[in-house]
Amino acid sequence: MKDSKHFPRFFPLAPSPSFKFPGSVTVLLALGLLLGSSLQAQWPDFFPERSSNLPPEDARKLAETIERALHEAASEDPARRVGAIMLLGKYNTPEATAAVLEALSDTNPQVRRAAAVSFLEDVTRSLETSTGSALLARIGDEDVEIRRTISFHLPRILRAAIDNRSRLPANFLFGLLQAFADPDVSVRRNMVAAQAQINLNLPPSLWTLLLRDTDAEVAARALPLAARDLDSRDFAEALAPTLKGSDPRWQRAVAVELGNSFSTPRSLEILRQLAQSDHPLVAKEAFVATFRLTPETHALANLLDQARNNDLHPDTLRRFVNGLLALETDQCLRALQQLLAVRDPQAREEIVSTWLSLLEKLPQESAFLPLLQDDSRMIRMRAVNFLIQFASELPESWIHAVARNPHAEVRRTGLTIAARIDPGRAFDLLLELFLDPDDSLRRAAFSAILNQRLGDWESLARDALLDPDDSLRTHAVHRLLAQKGNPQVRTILSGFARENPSDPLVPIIRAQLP
Amino acid sequence: MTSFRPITILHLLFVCLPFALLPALLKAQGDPGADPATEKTAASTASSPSYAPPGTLRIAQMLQGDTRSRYYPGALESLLLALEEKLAIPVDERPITVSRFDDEALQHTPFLYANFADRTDWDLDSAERDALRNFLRRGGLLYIDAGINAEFLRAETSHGQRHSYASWEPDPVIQKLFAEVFPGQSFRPLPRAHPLFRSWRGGLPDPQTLPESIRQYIVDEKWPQGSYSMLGLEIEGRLAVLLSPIIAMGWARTELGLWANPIGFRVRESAEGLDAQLRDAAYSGVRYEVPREDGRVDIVYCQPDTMPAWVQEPDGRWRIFRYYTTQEVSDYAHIFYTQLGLNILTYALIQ
Repeated sequence: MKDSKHFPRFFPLAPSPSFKFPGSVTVLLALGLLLGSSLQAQWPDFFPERSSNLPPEDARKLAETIERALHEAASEDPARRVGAIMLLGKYNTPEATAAVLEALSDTNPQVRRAAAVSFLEDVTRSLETSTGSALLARIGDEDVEIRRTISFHLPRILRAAIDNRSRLPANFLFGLLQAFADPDVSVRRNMVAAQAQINLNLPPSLWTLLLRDTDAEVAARALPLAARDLDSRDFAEALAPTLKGSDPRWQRAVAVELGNSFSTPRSLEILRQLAQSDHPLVAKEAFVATFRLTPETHALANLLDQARNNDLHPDTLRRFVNGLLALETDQCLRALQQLLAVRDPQAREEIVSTWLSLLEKLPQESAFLPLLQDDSRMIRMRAVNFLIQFASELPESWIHAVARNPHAEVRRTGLTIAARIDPGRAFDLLLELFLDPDDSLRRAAFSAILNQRLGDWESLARDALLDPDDSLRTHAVHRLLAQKGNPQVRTILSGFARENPSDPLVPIIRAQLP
Repeated sequence: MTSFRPITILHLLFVCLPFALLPALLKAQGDPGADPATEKTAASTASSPSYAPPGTLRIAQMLQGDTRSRYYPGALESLLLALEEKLAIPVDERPITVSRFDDEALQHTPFLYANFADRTDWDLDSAERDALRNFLRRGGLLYIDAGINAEFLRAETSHGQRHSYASWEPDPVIQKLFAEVFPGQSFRPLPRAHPLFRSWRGGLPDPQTLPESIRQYIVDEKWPQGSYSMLGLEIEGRLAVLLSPIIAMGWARTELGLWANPIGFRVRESAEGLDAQLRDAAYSGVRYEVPREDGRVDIVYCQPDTMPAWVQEPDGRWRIFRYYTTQEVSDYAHIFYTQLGLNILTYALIQ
């Protein structure tokens, strides 16, 4: 077994008097409690008020409704009891809850089903500890639909049932372990799905059974969990007999999980077999998994070729990229740089993010600048954020690539870059942005030039006051008036007012510059 | 919401469309009137990866904003994979994503899928309205998933993504949009016998896997003959715009072929004496009127606020809503929603 202390578990396989919940479980429970409180604060309508908080007329009607339903729930006719339990399940009052709880032990399976569904149909409804325990006890119910319902909702039920107890009673634990071997396949599927959350400590022999289950879904669900819990050697041994003639999806998933685990001779042998598969997705996945376990140069070159040619499925590609991180940084950077143009946008986003996060200096222009025009906005923004970090070192061609970019949000970052470079280059950049087709960007560029008195700002200010775009002219007047204490600004404004006496902006100027 | 991720294996039911159909389907992708320059651009924006052979069918998906925060990611891709797998149609499972209706890529696909919630702004400018009109007149079909949202689901976008509640009126936002794009035209309910519901496969999947207590309701009432609550807008006698409550929730599969999202059933039930009890039952939520297919209305009582608890039906009957969330229910819903999705796709391609 792998070191189990890395994998906190809810319960030991057999109850032990010394067993205590790991700290992480306690933290999870506390978080659950906090979340519950915050849910109640955010969505009070999901937590109906008790009758005592209702207006008298509503409270009376609620009490009458529940009283009638309770009367029906005591009927000798199971069909009437079913109806009553359905209705009582809609009310979160102590009387209604108690009646539904009692119905979980009814002799009639239809009534028990109605009670179980009543408790579980509203996933936002919190369950009391007693309710959780009563529901958990039905995991071995003779009625298969009840077992299916309980096992499907097991994590929620278990959270309620354990509450603040340090461990689960042995009979419950035994029932849960038995449920993994339930004759009904749906129950087994539910159990193995729940295992991802409840994290029971299962013995290797049970994992092997689950991996070799006749139902493909049980095995598929068990696969990543077993990969986590089983020793790599046991894992490979358990899987070996399942591969011959199996579904390619299963074979591919096995390759993925073996790639995630530790390298063993058996796992490498299995991957070698899978790499011979006629199914390209399986073969490629096995190839990538092998590379992840034993990164070799010739495999790297081959996989880079496939990735560049978009021959790898996006998910396989992402796993390959993840495997690249095991290489030396320089080698990893060179490899990632070759993949910056892969077709899948999400894979490309991950590649670009990883590449940029590893770079400590400006990369090759030909590799970087296309990112500023990438179809993915996220990639463009990652790229400009990187540029801002290195603003003072940017060559002219890089600054032009920002200022003349087809995407306005990239051009807009020119404003930030301008604030970080020397005034002469900043003026050139801002002047280019002042001529931008985006009006808001023009206004922002004008403000930046004016505020920093860059270059020939006075001529620019005079031009702005005569610009065909009224919004820019208005903006310029207000920005200049904000600096009316400056004699040059006063001269510009006065000159404009004198030469354009009928301009609609002149009264604003004259009001502030008498 | 629950964090369960119930699953199922792929039920391998390979059904091949007659090969004779294939050329027609692939031809439908092309625009014979496109000039060479346009075609070159299209090739660069809509090229297929080398593991998806050239000539594969591609469809478009409307996505605005961050593509990684969209609803039901991977759902359409899974449906397209199912199309290839079950109908033997060569298709690229990754749709061309567009954020506007005037995206040039729309000239090269016959089908545009939009989840209503994946576009935040349905107030189109004139360029987009013109482009949408042209796309539809040129023979394209726009399917707006979650384009029907019962009134009690409209307060929050996410409500209409979690509840596929049968109703027969368009979301008001969609109604307003198409009143501008095609004045005088209106959405009409798709009859239960509409060929769309059987263009790939008709009827319901085998209901024997369903819990017996809800089986009859599903077969007879919820999805009779495998039909669904849908509205269509016809342009020049052809279905051009299709609306439904959300069904993408039932498409996505994980890499292992397991269903990615849990789905529960809302079922109307009755029991001995329950009708009489519901007539006078107290409720703490709201009361809504929801139109039925035939124009009559259901009166829905919520308990608590947005959770339909019971219903008064037009014939005077009262029934309680029960929510079943088990693996079998979820699997069945996925199989049906995928069938429905494939019916929509194949109808779009062959109509």
